[in-house]
Amino acid sequence: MNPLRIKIARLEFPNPVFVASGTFGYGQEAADLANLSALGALITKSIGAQPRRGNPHPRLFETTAGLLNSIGLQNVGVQSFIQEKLPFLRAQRVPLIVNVAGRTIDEYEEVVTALEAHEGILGYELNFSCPNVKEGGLEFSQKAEVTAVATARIRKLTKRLVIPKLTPNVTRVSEIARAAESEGADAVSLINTLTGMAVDIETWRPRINTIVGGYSGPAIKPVALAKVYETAKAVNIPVIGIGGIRNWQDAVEFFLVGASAVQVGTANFVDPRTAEKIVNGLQEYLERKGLASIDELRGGLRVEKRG
Amino acid sequence: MASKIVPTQTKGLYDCRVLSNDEVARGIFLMRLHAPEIAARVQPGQFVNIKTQPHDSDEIAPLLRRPFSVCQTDRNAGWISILWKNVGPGTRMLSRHPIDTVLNIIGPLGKGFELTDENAAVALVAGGLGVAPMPILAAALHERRSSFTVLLGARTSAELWGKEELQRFGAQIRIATDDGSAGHRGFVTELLQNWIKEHDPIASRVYSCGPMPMLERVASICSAAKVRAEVAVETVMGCGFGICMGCPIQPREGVEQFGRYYLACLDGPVFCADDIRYESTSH
Repeated sequence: MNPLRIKIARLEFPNPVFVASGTFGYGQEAADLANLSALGALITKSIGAQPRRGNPHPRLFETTAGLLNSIGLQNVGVQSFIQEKLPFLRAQRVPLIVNVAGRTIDEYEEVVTALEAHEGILGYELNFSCPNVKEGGLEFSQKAEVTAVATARIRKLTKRLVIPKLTPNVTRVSEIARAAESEGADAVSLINTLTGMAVDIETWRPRINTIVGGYSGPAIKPVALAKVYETAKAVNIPVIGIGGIRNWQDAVEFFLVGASAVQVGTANFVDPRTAEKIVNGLQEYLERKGLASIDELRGGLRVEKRG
Repeated sequence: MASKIVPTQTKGLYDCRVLSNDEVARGIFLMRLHAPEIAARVQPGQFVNIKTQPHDSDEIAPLLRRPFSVCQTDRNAGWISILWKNVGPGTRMLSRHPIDTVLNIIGPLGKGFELTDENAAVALVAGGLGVAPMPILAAALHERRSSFTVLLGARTSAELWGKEELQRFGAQIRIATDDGSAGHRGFVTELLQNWIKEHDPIASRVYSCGPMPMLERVASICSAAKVRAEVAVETVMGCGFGICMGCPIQPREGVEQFGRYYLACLDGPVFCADDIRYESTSH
């Protein structure tokens, strides 16, 4: 039996290492650099009801072991996605989750409704947490009641997986996660980017166009671990851990604090084979530790008093 | 679903040995890398995205790869070269590597120059490190027996590189430096204006690479003279192959793409000079 196999709701995934939305395009761009069938799942760049052109230059700024971005949800829109991107993704042997974004709950519904008519999609990750667009996005997951209403309305539309993606930019992310769980979410994924900024001291200008952007990369891993730890204790649905993961050791930390699966994000920009390397590393780690499955790792953090 | 998908399979991820890494002008280095797969396929104007740490290093910083135009290629010997300058943590890392260091490289990437078959006057216009893609372009033009002129601009003669390299391919060279220490004192775009005047009406094509303000000037000179120009832009990139969407280039009004952004890594780095707006990447 495959020791890396995991389940979310009733669905089985070949391994718990996914690639995060916005860090693997629509699959095709990375297909000649990485083995898509090695991924536990591919989560697409956010799809909205209409195409979005995204934000102007500069969109990226590298910080110490981190990255500030302000892409602004540039995407092709759901109709082009269905016509131009979905056929390729469906032809790959990779579990597919579509990330959905919108300004209003109606827009999330519109995208999901359009996608429901097409096969080959296992679920929807709901981007309730993009910091780089003026409306919608972030404010959905900053308020538990809004997260609850949005989750409930999407839940009514689909039997596929519903996975709200949560922001760390709140007081207690576990409360938001509980709101999503109570309205039928199958899992939650976290963390999306932290808000961050950087300043050019010669020109006195912000380093990215929106002044404040999304902060990701190895530097945010400790924050992500703390949020996943908090959330995994608070909910009974799977928690998908995201934030600064670039090797199998990082992934193991997330499983130990309670994640059921992980997503690799920024690291894909540097090495699009990161996820498959993590899969191999996890396999060896389980063997070395004599563990039969990833489930035996999950939440295994030892917190008894030392002495 | 009958939609047919043909993967392009043009780029790859390779571990490449550093063959040489020499200072060829003040502060400017030429690094040769053993990269037979890239050498065999790379087109003039395409680039590679290099992880600046050695391939087996666990050092996190610099986090992202750094993009470099391919400068030269030797298909038979299986190497490519890049031209680089110490401008930040990524390139500082490159200066540390002794020969035989292995670097991880993604390439060849992006859309290169469209080579002209017309038997008319062609000029290559380079400013500063923008000379980087010119030798590989000159070699390709030379193979097609096009005669051409290269206009080279630098701040000062000590920072000038490429003259001998380009002469090997039969190029006529004209030089401009800001301080007049070599050739014309002033901008390389002034040389371009003269060249177009001399070659009117047979001037057919200009290829250019350099800083954005220079490219903007090249575009306006060529547009006024109705000469087709292609420019290779230098900009910040994340992944280099279209997944991070971090390198937007603004299309000019009236272009089909207007209202959406180009990505420098996929739609460029070479663009028709008239298709883009140049302020979009200035900080």
